Amino acid sequence: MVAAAETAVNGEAGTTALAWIVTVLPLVSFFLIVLFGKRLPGGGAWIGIVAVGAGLVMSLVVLSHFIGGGEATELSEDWFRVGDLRFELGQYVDGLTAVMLVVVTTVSLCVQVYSLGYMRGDARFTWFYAVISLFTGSMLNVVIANNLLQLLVGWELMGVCSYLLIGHWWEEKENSDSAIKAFITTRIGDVPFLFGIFVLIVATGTANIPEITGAIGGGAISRGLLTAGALLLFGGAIGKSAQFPLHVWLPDAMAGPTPVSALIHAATMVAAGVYLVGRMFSVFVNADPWVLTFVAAIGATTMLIAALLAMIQDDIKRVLAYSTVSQLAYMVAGLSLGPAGYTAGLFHLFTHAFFKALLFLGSGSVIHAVHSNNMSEMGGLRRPMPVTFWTFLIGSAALSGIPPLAGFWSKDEIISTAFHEQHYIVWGIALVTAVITAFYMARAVLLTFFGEYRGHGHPHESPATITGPLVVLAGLSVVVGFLNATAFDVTLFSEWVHFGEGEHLPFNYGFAAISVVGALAGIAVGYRLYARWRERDPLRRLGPAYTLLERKYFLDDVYLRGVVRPIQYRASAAVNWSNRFILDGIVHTFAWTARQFSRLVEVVDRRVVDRGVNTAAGLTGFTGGILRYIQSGNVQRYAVFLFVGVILLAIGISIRA
Amino acid sequence: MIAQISPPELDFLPVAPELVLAGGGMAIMLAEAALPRVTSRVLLIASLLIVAGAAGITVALWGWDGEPTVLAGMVATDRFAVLIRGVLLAVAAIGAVYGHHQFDRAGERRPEFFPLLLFATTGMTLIAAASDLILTFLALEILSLSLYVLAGFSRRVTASEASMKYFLLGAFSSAFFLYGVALAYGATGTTSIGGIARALSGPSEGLPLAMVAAALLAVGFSFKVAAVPFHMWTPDVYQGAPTAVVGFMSAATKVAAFAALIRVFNVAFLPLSWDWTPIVGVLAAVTMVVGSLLAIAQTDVKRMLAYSSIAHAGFILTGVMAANQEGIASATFYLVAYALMIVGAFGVVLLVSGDERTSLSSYAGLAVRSPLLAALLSLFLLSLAGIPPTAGFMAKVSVFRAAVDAGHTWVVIVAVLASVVAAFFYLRVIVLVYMKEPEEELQPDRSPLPALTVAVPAVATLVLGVFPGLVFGLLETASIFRW
Repeated sequence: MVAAAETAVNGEAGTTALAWIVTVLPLVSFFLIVLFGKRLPGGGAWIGIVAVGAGLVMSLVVLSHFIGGGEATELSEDWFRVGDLRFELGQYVDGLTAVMLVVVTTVSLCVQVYSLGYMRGDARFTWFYAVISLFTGSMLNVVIANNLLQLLVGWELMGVCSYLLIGHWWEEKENSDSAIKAFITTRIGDVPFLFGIFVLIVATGTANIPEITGAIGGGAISRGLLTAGALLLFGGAIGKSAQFPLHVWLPDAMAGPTPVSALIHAATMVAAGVYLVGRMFSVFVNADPWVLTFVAAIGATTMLIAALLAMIQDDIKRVLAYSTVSQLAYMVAGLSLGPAGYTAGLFHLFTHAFFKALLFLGSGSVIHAVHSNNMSEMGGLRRPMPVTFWTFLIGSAALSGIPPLAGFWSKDEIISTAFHEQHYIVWGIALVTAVITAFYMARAVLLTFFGEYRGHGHPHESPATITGPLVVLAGLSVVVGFLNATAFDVTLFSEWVHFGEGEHLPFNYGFAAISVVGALAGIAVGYRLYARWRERDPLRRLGPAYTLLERKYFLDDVYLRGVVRPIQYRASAAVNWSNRFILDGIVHTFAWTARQFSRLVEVVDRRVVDRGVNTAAGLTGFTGGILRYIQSGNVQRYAVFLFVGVILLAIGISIRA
Repeated sequence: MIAQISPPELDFLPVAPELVLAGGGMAIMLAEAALPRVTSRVLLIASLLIVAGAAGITVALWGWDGEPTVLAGMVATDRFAVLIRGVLLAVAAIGAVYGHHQFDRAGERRPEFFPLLLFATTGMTLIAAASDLILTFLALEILSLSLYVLAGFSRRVTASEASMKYFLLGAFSSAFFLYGVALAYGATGTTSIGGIARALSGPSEGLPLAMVAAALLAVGFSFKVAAVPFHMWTPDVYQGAPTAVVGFMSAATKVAAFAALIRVFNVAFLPLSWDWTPIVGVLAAVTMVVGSLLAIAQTDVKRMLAYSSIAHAGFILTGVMAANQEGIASATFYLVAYALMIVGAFGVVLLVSGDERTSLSSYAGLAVRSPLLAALLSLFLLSLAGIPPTAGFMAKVSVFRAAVDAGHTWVVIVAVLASVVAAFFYLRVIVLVYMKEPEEELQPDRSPLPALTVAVPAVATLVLGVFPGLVFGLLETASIFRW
């Protein structure tokens, strides 16, 4: 992009013109790190950190444009032309873009600083930083793109980067399998996405997002095309944002280094799907109403099944992974509520990025210390790792929706909007899921940080490069919710990110109370079940009395065996089973079928022919090397095929003529 | 009565690149006969100089402002011909380096390689500029005969087999092509591409005959570009022929044959486009699907790339069927991108496998042995798979968009699905290269010259992926045919 050639479209670009520099910085740093990283002290990591840090500062400047109620701006120039077809390279910056710029750069900065400690001594340290930079740049490109084809470039590049990062430790076969799974699964979602882009181009004659939005607003576009376009775009979002039934890749994506998980799960990749729905929201709103109902159904289903799965995981990163799937579903469900839920859904995307990055980085800190992902080998870590503990606790509370932390405000907004919009099923499921969320986070915190240490060695607190980002993100997880704290009439976020008039619900203490009580109930159940897990109590000597006390008059057993366990395990196990066997089965069957089919074609193509030929050669005797090869008869067969082709062509023409 | 035969005005400048190539080829042949001690390196340098000379003239022809056709309407002087010539000459230069390296390293003395390469290139550049079907056929034969010999250019039996197959089937398809030329003449009374277009755009009796002619010409071209069901020779020939030759022919033959196909169908038979686009569409769809599916089952890297090149023929046909300037421009861009990535990919194969160890399993852990070659191979594979920021991605997107814009949505649907299937097998190789431990001791060739040569298309692939405008800018005028 050449700054001089840019033209502002609507409104003075002003400071928003910085947005594309924010995007280009990590891309430049990618090349610098690849080219010179290994020769630099620190393996080139500082290039990436400085680039994204500068990007963060500029993103804040861009955001400041909207604090005073600035208008959306667009800059664009021809990337290239094919005849009359225009391919643009440009940026469209509105409040949503600005907010996402800040989120992506913040999380990426934290992740990169954190990786200084976490990835130290890694054999491919420099490469890791290079790909992280490219990944960040790709996501930023998705965020600022003013046209769908440019967005697609970033979208696909992210797919490649995620594949590289998830497979970073490819020495274990499982990891490279996970990388492939992530790449292929999201690519399956890319197919409808690509079709969706073409449908919109056909419908509106342009790939430019503001123009598409304008054309739809003009009402000239057929509703059928919009419906098809919305469904297809949503297909892309399902793949990238790991919604049912394409959510299978995300838990496996845990195979990558933990900072990568944080980046993928918080600010990039999975956020892209939700962002896409938000960016192209006018397509969804103007399509047939059942499209949004369908989106709601996917959101509600995903939300619940993922949360149930999170309850039974032993691997701490898997708990968080399923939690991400579930929280993304909240965002999807929020968006499915139509214009009223637009701000709520995207606000949750915003807040979730901070506390989920925090949780992942926190889990990484723990894993770094105990050298295991399994919570059964953790326990009692709050004493040796106080910083990690407190920050993780804040993240968990934020995720569980405890006021006044970030997750409370955004989740509550989704839940109360669902009720207000009379989507009672979504509302009900969202509430239930909120309870489960609080429960599994309580479980994770208790198993990891409370009780006795059950692992090996003596865990220590992580170095400052690791705890520093944790503290920063914890601080942000506390404060960012106040950007839209409707209870205090703060509605900054809705001023930046809104659809249409951007009406927002007044804060309802009743609903807030229900949410909070639900969350607390979840935590309480978690505490009851896991606070004393695996502790050997000296009071055991009391014998039967202890047993009675231990079993709490056997009431817990009744709850546990009769209610909680069966529900918890059966439901979770059932979902787990269907996940493992049915959905994975479908993916595998698909791959298998494709492979078998191609083998079949191969057989027809070559083997059958060859075999016939070889038999013939055998019969005519050992005529020897060259002759057998050259006069194998293969060629005649090939010529027959060629002739068949000619005949088919002739038939084709006679049909036309 | 004495007929007044005025000799046509002869302007040889527009065919000067071909004259230089052919003359240079003959000079090398004679020099080699007269001086039997001349080394392959000297011949390589001479060939590169000849190619460079031809390229220089080609660049000068960009500014040609004379007649649209010269030599009695035989040769077009438009910028399309100039652009395609440029691509072909670049590929020829790379191919010359490959060939020199392969034969030199094997200790084989093959001085005939260079003249044959230059003759093949002569045919290719000529076919790109041919504006008369007679010349198209002539050029087709020039390039084919040279390639038949080149394909068998090895002591290995499989090479002779490949060469023989290629020759027999090629002769077969040439017959169809020639028959098509005859019928076109029968239908329109001319073999001039522009003349046919003029005849067909007026009210005409011979339309069904012209359609049959178009179909037979399509058979001839489809064979050369390896479109299904005329692709059967491709995997066998690519596998059997020397890798250096395959690198050259996979890129250059497709570019040349497609250039002629685009010219014939978008000029001569443009008035019939309503009739032939659905047929080309079916051809494109079948080619993409069969090529992509069969590539999955391959265990040999050269066969896999062969099926990949078949699939790419389908994608290019998708652009051709748009039958408008956008279609021509995007298909031509695709050709440029394809030539870069396939010549590069085979270059890596040459360095890693040579002719013998072409099993895919021998690519396991290549990244450990040679990070540079692994990175180059991955880049070419990503581009072949159509993933940004490579030229392959831009090529696919622009071809798809042109086809959608022309209303051929169904072909694009097939194309997108095929490209997803294709991602499977390209990715599989990248996984092998980066994420598997090496199984056997494989010593990649570490010679600097060919590695440097492979780096050229690699850089170009990236540059065109980010700045496709560099080529599309040229195509603004180069996708307009003058006749």
